[in-house]
Amino acid sequence: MKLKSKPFDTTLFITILMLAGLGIIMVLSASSHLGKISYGSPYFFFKRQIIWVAGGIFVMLILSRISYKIYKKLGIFIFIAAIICLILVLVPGVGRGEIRGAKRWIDLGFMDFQPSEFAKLAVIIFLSSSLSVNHKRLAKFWSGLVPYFCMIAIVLALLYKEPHYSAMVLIVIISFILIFVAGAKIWHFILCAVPLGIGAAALIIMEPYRLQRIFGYLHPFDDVTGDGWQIVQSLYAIGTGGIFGLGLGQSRQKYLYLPDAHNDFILSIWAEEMGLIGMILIVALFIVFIWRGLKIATKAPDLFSSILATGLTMLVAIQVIFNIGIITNCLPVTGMPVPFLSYGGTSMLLFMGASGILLNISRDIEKL
Amino acid sequence: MAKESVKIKTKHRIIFLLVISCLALIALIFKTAWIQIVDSDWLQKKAYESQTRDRTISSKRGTIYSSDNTILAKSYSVETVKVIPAQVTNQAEMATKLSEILELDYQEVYDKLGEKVSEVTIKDNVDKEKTDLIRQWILDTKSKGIKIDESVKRFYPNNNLASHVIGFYGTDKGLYGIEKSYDDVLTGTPGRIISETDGRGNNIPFSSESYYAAQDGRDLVLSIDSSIQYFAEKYLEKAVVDNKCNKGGVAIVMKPTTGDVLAMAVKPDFDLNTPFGPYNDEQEEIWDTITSEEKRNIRESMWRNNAISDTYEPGSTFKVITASAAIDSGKFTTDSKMVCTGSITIAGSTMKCWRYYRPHGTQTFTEALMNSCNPAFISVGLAIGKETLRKYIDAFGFTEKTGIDLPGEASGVFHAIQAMRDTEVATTAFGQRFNITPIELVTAISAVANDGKLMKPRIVKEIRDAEGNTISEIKPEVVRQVISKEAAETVKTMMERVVDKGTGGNAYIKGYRIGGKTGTGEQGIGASTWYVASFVGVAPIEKPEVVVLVALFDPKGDSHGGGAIAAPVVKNILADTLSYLQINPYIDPNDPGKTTISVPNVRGMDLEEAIKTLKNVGLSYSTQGKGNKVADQIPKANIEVIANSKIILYTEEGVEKLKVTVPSVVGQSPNNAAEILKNVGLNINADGLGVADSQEPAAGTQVDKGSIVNVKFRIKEVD
Repeated sequence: MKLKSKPFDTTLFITILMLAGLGIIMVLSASSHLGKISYGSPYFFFKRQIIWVAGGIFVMLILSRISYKIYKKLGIFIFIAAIICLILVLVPGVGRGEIRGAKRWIDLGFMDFQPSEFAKLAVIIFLSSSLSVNHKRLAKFWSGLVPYFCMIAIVLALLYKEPHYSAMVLIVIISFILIFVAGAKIWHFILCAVPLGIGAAALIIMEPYRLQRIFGYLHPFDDVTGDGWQIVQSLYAIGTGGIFGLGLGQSRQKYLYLPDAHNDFILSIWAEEMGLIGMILIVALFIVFIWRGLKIATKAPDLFSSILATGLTMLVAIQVIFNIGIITNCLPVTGMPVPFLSYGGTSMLLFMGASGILLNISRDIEKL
Repeated sequence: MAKESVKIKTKHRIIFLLVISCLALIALIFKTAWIQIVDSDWLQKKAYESQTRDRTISSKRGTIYSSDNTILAKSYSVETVKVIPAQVTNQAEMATKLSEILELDYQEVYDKLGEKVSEVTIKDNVDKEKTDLIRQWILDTKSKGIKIDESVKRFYPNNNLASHVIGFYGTDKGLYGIEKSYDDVLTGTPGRIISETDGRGNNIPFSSESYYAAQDGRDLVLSIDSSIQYFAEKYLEKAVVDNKCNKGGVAIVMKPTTGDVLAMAVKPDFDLNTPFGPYNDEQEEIWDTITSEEKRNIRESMWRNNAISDTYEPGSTFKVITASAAIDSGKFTTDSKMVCTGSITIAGSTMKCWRYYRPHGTQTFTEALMNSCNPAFISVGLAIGKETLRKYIDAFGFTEKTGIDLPGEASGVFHAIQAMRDTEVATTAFGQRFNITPIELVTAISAVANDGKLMKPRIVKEIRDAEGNTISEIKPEVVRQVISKEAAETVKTMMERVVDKGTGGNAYIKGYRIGGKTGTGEQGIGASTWYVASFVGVAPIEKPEVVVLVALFDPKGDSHGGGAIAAPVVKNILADTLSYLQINPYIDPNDPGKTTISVPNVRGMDLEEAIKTLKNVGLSYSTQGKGNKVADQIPKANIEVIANSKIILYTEEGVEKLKVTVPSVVGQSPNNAAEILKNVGLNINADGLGVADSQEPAAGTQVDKGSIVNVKFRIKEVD
């Protein structure tokens, strides 16, 4: 392991710091009432978020100094580790058991660890590593693509057991993106769409409450007190914000109306307090992030780092797109935190870590 | 390890991802902008509704008073003390306090507080003073679990009185009558307390609370006088029962100078406190077995205010209108001559006079009204012509609603003027083949009584606030001058003759000048024909104070004639009302037949002195016994008798009184009856006109000689 001294992409770095900084402010505002009611302190979540951000930046800086090349060798082991974690989370006594209807957490003592978040990163690293070696075989459907599908299916099956559907959706999309970027044939994707569609239909038929979620999403005001509650409260928040917002800290929806106000719906509160202007700012920062990330991917020194940078950047991009899509009622509600902004340790460490790797790749690029 | 170079294809695909991602994010910004700009207003409004707790402070519904300040409808609040046992933390303390304030047994309350139910009622109908004490205690001790619910009840202290006028109140609004037409005024504006709360309903710290005080409903003062309403209902009820009126009856008393409805009685009626029935024992028995559809029909017909919502054929009462048109247009005078031959043929159809068997012959216009002679009125109608007749019908307001402040008013239905041939003109002139509402007729007759000025009927006189201050007064409203003052005077005198000497004699009251007109209308055809017997009276005719209309629907008793069965009801209502209004009777000394003499006390007098005393007041005498001092007299002192009645004077103490058997005078004329009684040594006290209808004591009874027999006379013929 050798430390690199070449500079990384400062634009990307500053963008990340700005996002994380704004995230701390958002968490403070959105969580103060809940913190006071539930834990006796309006700063309960705020203090923890500061620790996560600080820890995240630390991890990012460390990883930005560790050569990305090691992941190419470690790819398969990271993937296996992630699968083990995903199994452990289901084991009684190891996993924290069911919380809000899902088994997603392992108590590490200092934090609740979500293997499914780690799995996202693991899949990206593994695919980048493997695809960069095997990209020539991708032209063949059965020997090139299907083995990947099978390995990803293992992850999906474990996530389905938790269940953690948003992570499943995300991993499917990311996997396809990486295979696509690695050079697979377009018509192979079309071929895949058929079984996927059948699979999705099967999932809905097996557990009809998902269908309700979808109906609630199309007509949230039909069931304001039930399935539509969260999205309606989100729309109240965003709509109330208007162009300029109510002002920082002035959100009313954070007063226990909007569940997960400091988490998945943090941007709803932001939109309420800072208005359209605030939303444009946040989206602009993410566009910068995506632009820099994908630019690193195009200029990356080799195929592995290119695919890896694409995966890490698109992980952020997809989560942001999904999140804003959900809070504005364009997509059905699933748990999808906003990278760098939402409260939560695993997510923060994951994205900071991913950014660290991305920054490290940027060090290998002469002219960005 | 071979270094794999990044291919152009990969670069292109990455740029494709960049473009897609940016487009997606920009699209989402547009969606956000749509929510924050286009949808912002209504989302903000809905969000505010959801973020605030809007508590309503109910406004007290106004009280309805009669013009004599009797409460007709009133709201009062009752409070119920309930407890949610699961929330109670201080059971013993709370039981002590509640049992003390609510005057309940401690143990009983204690047990209730421990019950395993979601909610338990401690006491109903609790005064506000007591619940305020409980509220204070809750504040002081921060006790949890007590719930005090307030509800407002509407109460009608007089039950059935004026039920169709007052109407009643449903759960949130007035459903009928004044309660409906003045719902807004009575309701007031509920107040609100709006406070910002969090998602669990707790107040948000440092948030503001907006308070909007409730505006209590206004009180109403009706033109209805509870006493007159009571008179009208009492006599109408009796008439409906006596005459077996299947479809009930209506009585309206109006003050002609203002249009005030002093009474509006509709039978059958219902208790406003239980407006949804069943309405009688018969219905109560079958109530659970009938369908809701049938119940609804029963209710709707019960609630219907026939005085304004239903039309009927007025019959001869309408001749007053024809007469007004004839006099006011100058085409006729009271002395205009007209001939009745018992029937008249118009355009091939023959119309009979009600007394076709004994035609009226040549008569003046006044006599024609007195006699209620159809052929005479047919000729009048044809002479003034359909345009003129119709002009007056319109002017009297029969073709429009009177505009009374009650819901559901109907208006009269007449032949279209183009469709009126001579036959229709003829029938219209004497009041048949068209329909009007009772309120229209009473309003039109009031115009005749009010110097020709048609008034808008007034039922609400005044709107007051809760402190009794007048908020607004509803002034009497002149609709138009229908006929000249002079014409009105003339028609009034004609109406007086109807009661004095004509078909309206049953409405005669000693000492008052009363005008009126009988009427008998027909409804339906063939075997299903039924009658409306009506009478409209005006009193006192020289300065009318009241106009009374009584209409009896489908009488199945002895008679269905207005003069026979409706006029006595008007008479009774008028007698009570005039005396209530302190309009005193005037006794004409030149009208001995209708004058009574109070028998003086001659007991203990010398016989000579007694005879002189009796002669002085216009009484005759006969003595019994040989003494010269009056020991006893029959009739006794102070009894009212007619002039020349014979007083029997007993001049010996302890003498057995002479007894006579009362003969039957039923069916006799007043003169004959007086003669028959006089022949056996009895005195008569006559009431009414026509033939003797009943007597008291009954025939065959043994009474003291000289006693008075009360005989009631009635006119039996119908018009």
